[in-house]
Amino acid sequence: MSDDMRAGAGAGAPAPARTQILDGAAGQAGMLEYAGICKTFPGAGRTVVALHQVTFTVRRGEFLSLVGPSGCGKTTLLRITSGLEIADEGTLALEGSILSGGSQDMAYVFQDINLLPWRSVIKNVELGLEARRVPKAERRERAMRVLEMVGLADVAGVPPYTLSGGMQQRVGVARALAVQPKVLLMDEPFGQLDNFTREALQVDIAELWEKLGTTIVFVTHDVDEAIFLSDRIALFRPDPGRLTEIIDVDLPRPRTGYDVRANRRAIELRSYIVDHLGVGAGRAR
Amino acid sequence: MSAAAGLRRQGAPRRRIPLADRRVTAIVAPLVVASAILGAWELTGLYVNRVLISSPQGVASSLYDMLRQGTINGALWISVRELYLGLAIGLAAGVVLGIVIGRYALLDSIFSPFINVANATPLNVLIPLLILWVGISAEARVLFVVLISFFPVLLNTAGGLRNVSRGYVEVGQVLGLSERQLLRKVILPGAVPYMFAGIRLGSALGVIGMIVGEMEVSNVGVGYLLNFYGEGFQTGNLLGLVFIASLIGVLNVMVVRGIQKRWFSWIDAAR
Repeated sequence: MSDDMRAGAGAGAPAPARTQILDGAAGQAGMLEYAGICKTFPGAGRTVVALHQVTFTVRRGEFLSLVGPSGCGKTTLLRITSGLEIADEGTLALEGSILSGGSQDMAYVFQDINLLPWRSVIKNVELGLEARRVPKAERRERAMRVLEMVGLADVAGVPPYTLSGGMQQRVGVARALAVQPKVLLMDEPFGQLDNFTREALQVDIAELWEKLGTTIVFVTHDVDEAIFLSDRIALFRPDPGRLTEIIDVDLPRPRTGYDVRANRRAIELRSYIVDHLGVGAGRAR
Repeated sequence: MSAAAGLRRQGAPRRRIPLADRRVTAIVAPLVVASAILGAWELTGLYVNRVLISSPQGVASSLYDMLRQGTINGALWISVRELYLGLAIGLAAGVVLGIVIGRYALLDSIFSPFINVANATPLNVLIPLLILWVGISAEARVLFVVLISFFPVLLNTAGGLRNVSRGYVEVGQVLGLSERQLLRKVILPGAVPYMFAGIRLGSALGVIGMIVGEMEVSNVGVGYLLNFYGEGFQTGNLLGLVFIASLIGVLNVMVVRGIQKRWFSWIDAAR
């Protein structure tokens, strides 16, 4: 029944181009390849299937968002990617080599930032470089460079808790970028920020991405945010958490917030995604 | 004016007391309470034998005399020396062993039953044993201070290592810190607030250990003098010493707080 409903909605909003989920034919190098990822959390009374048979490829240099309602496994997938969780089944490859338990070529930006309060801003940014045994002088210099990139060079010496939430998350981004990752994993990084701060950071992260060319996998439940930032959007559904499709965001760059809200194509994409994730989708089961 | 009052009622739910006023209140209110207690104390003397409760004035003058004439200087010096020697050993051992036990789950599961039993035992039951081992001596008293200050530090430190915010640990993990780096750069600093809680507790308990030790195991020190003055019905002197003992406890806690404020200001600021 809900398929009919969605077809009905689709008449108003032409379906976006779907990418083949197994991306081999795309002719573009795969950065991250997920194959048959499964993850179950045993719970009291009820085991939760967080992820069921997730298979797809993240392309080199792309900005990919994972979008879906809570409980759809998108954060779990990101945590598996970083090595914070271990998949029950399936494999994950970074540039062709199978990973087990994370990689120094990836960095993670947390929703609740977690800057270490006993370290100054710049010492927080240096933490990943200390893990890589970068000598002290070079560490300082590289940390300073990324702080300049996020516009926070002048607060390098202060304790992080003196900064606003938006500035703290800029430090969080700087801390991740300092290790020059090939893949940047971002878990609802702007979820706790107010609207204005969030939009400013969205613009900044888009600019940083264009400048650095880092592959970004970005988890959000904010559809506008995903459209504004992404090359492609992977749609997830809960119970069991699974990837249902990946759609292309065929909007020219650079984008502005106004474009994305007013552009006809963006509106079509938006209504398609909302329809996919909305009440109708919930009833589909 | 009534319109303004009406607006206020509708607007902000409750007027907050300005910060300056609150600060003044924080100083004035305890002073008021203290004078009330002292006044009541002075008045009780009208109905109760002064020998039993003395009076604020009597205590103040006894204290003044004792300090001026130096009758308690020797005892005070002995007590303070034993207290801080015991605290130095007890607190340091508590932190070090707390780190070891908090770090290794195996050691924790082996030792924690014993530690919990020891912590729940009123430790003065061990005093006769201590006397048996080292006699009625300074060593026995120092050992007792060590024992009594050691467990809260041990337990808080070990618990602190296990309770460091998971978010901080995950930051270290995704940034690729080694196990040793994770311990040194994330878990130990993250446990410092718990260590301070234990040290505050231990340094206050140490004063109890000092007094109890001296009351039971000596013919010297503040604890011994307390017995002496009590048996001699010298209530003014007795309560003067009580005042000094509580002053030592308060000073200990203030010093620990001061160290935390000066070198670990993030503990209060980051909450």
